[in-house]
Amino acid sequence: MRKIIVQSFITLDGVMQSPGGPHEDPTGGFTYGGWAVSYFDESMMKFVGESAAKPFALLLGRRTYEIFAAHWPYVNEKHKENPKENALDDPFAEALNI
Amino acid sequence: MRKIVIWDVMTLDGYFEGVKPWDLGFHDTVWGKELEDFSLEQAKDIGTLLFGRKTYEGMAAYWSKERGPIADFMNSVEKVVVSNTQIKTPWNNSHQLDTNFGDAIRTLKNKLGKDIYVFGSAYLTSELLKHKFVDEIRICLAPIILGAGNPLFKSPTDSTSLELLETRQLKTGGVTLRYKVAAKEKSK
Repeated sequence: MRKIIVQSFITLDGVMQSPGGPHEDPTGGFTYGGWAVSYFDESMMKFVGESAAKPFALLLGRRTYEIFAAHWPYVNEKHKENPKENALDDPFAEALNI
Repeated sequence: MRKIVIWDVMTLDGYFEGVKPWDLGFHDTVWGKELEDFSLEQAKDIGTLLFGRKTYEGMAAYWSKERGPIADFMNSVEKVVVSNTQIKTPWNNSHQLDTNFGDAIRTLKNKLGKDIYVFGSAYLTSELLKHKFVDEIRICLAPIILGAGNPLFKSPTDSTSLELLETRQLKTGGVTLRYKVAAKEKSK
């Protein structure tokens, strides 16, 4: 039987909303969007890469699905527009778009 | 200047006690020889314990009757209570902070001696964070999703950036986390 693994970015006080950017999820007037970005260092990317390396299926609620669907398929285009802010060789993007 | 250090056991979903006051059953998931040693080691650096009213009253009632190395420490160390109401529960070497909160905490920090620690006292903790008085946060993360309870960090408040100083994995499954409040957050 396959396992279900919950993977999340979370602050010490339990917030998981809008880690990647201010426009990701401003629900409820949330103004701290993008709080996780400054912690995306090499070891974090390694962790994400490792968890995306094995075959997996992604189970998402509606909101996260819509955020992901609007972002991940366009990572390559975004990279062309702004290479500094949008990495091309994102292991998570690769795993998600296959 | 003395440091103010926050120390709490917290569940993965952010509670420091259950729904009812002093509902601390989840401490059993992390408590053991290692955490006891950690507490005794930490006690060597404590000059003053700073409490909110509820934690003070519960601690006073509990520790006054206890025996042993931790009880001896708790009963002998200086204890300061922050409350708007008159505290009537007696406890050896304790007194109430009676002047303006900010000035009183500054005075306390400027006294010579060992550091100031805060246990429990979630509202006081949030108040200290808001005023940028906190130097360090130590959490023992308990491997449990409690589902309901009293959150350690009160919301909403200003955000505070932290620097990770140390993590330690306990045999019980608990993880101790030691954070410094980032320099840019500190009051001048």
